[in-house]
Amino acid sequence: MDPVAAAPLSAGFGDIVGWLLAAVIALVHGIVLLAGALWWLLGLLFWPVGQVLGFAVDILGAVFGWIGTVIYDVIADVAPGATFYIDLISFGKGGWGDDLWVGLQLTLKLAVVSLSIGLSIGLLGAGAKLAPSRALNFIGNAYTTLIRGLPELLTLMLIYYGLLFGLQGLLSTGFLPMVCDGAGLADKLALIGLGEDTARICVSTTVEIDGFTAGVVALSLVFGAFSTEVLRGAILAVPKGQLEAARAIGMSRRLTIRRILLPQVWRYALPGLGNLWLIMIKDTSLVSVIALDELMRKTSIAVGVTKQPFFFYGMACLVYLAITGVSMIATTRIERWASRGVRRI
Amino acid sequence: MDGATLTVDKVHKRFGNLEVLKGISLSAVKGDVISLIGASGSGKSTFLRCINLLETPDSGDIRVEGELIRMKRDKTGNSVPADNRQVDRIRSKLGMVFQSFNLWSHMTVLQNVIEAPIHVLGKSRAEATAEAEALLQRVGLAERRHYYPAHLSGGQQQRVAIARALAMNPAVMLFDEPTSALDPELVGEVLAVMRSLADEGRTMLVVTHEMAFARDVSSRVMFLHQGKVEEEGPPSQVFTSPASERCRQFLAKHL
Amino acid sequence: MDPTNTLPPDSVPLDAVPVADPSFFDGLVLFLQSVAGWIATAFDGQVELLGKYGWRLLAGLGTTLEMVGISLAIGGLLAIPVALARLSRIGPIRALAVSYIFFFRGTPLLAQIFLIYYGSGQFRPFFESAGLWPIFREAYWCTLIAFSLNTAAYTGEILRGGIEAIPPGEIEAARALGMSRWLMLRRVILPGAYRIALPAYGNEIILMIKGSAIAMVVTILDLMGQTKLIYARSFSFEIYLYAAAIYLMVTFILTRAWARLEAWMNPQRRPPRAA
Repeated sequence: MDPVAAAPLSAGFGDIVGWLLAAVIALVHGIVLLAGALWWLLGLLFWPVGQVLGFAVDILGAVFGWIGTVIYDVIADVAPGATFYIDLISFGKGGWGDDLWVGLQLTLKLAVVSLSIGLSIGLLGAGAKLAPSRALNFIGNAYTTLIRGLPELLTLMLIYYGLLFGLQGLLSTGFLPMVCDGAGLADKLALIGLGEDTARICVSTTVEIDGFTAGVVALSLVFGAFSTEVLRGAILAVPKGQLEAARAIGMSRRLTIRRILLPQVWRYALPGLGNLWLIMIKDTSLVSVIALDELMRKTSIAVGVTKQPFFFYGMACLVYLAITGVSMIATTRIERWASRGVRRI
Repeated sequence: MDGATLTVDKVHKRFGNLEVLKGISLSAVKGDVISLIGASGSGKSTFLRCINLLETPDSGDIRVEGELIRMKRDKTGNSVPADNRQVDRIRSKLGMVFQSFNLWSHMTVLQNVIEAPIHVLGKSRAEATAEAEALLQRVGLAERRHYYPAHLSGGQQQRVAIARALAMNPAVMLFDEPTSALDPELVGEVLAVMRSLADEGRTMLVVTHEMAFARDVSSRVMFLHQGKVEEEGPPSQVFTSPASERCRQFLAKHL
Repeated sequence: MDPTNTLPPDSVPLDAVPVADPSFFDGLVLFLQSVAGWIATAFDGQVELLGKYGWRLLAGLGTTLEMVGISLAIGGLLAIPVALARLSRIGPIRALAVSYIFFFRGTPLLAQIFLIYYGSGQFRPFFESAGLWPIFREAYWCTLIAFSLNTAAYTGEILRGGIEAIPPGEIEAARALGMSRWLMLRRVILPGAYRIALPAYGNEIILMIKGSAIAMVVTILDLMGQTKLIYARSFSFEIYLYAAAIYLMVTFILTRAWARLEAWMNPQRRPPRAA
């Protein structure tokens, strides 16, 4: 265990590796902590909003609940058969409304997280494709060609099983414990107060990849590849003369990118990105295949129990239509805002 | 030349096998208005773009207010600026007006003018805005300050571009065919602004096809032909008794 | 602090890991040895895997191409009335086309397949009385229906874009020559629209090939379905990589072929041939 007891030649090198590993682990912890803090701060910031909204929802819920029961009673009088279906999607006991709602939340979370990661990848990818470096061009091209040529479902499977097998393979070689040992990682982690990680990193024997992680990785990669193309096109669409004018007036490269290029890139990229967002909403349904309880899978569960496939899949379709419909309205609004001053009055 | 605002010494530039500039020199003192004329392809625009390094000259010295732009050779032997910060600083002293205006389309007229004073010179927003409004007043566009470029005519856009360049209070104004992209009826308003700048003693370098402007406003005219200065002198001399046959032919065609 | 104290009871303590000398380099050497050994046996393993299951991949590819081909043909034919209805001057017809397009472009293909395949079961007596049950009973036909309706919606929109992009002067010229509406549609509008829509339609074909992988979910043995089946039998992750290579090859060949087709369909873009 003691690094000093190891071979003298490897002790120094092993120590360096150990400290590097410890630093990486500490960094990951830092990022997680920072994200947590940001999340908390955001929550604090929006707490009053949440309270007001919550209150509004309560009132609306009461009003609509009352209207709902009135309508429900009317329907029960007019067409007693129809209440059967309303009961099916109610939020109460025996109804599947709450299950679908939970699934919908997961679907949206999956899409939003993948959107933000995918967009970052897209920016990096577009940068790589336009960079004056052949190596970066090659990496960018290989990435987009590969991902765009594969079915999204296959990408998801590759990620899911690839992560699983890759990590399991790494564990089965016994490489990790050896590295941990050789580098004296346990001591170093204990020293910087991250002792609990030793067990997780050095001696775990099984890996589990949860559907959400695999889904986010796969959808982010797909969104990243397609948005790379969209953003690349948008960057090229900004008139060269405007960038030249910025350089000519003495603005530095970075300032030109930040003040002149990027604000206009959004304008050109938004229609394409909006389209990709719609595609991604629909692609989240694929993640149901690897047993993530998003909207589609929740629907299938409901179908399995109630034997009402047409009704529930129809409902799911309506929910997807609602999301895409709202998204389309939202993107047109954002596009109009982003291209202010471009259209002639 | 002592006290010269801008000196250019034997600038060469080639694109591939084509040598566009074959050693052009120029010197301007404060208040000089130099017109560069010549057929298209004679290298006059390239020369102008070399002065503020939008094109990198292969060799030759450029001095702005006595300060030499330092150059070095990169790995492949190409000439590149030695210090990009110096280039940015010098560019802020050279106001450039383009043929195609190149206003930033996502910003209003006012935002276009105050952008560089705030972010390059570090002026306060209030100060920059006050100066910008005075400049817009000067080019006759004060009431359009909240318009976007797309909502202005070409002549108005070019006048905004001139105000944007003036906002940096440059030592030299470079005009690259400022009226060539304009409809004929809009040329006059831009030339009027340029004339008033010349009258107040601005140092200007103008690449132009407007012979009347070159003849009436400039203090000196340079006729470029195939990357060389073929004829140079005060307009009275160049326009009435040019020494070069080519210059005579060119003027005959364009006057 | 002794790190072994912090281990959960069910995990292996560090001492139990079979390492002769716990030095970093020894670990590295062992690891590299195991990698080398893996590469040596991997090649034989891959040959065996492909020998045993290779035909399945090819059969799967056949099914994929067949399903995509049939649904593109049906969808392509349906797309013409969809596009024309979308451009119709009669409100209700246009509304019908708009909602058809909105539904099939706004919901996941997976949901559409489920709706048709499982949903039809709810109306079994009706389909039986109509004599259609043998079709709706089969996952293959249901998936084909879903694919066809789906691509018809997308292709209809592409075609509409093509029709709208035809210079109005060309249509005016046809009208001036006294062409009937039908003749104009057949001789001027559609041929022009096809050419304009060609690049977008090439994209749609590739999207369809990629999207068809979803058929696996209703037990169809297309390329993706076969891949999953082989994986379930062999537990060889590599089979997914082979499937990926095949999909990439198909999309690559299609992209190339489509570029040729575009050049051939647009002779006006070629430089004039010397006499």
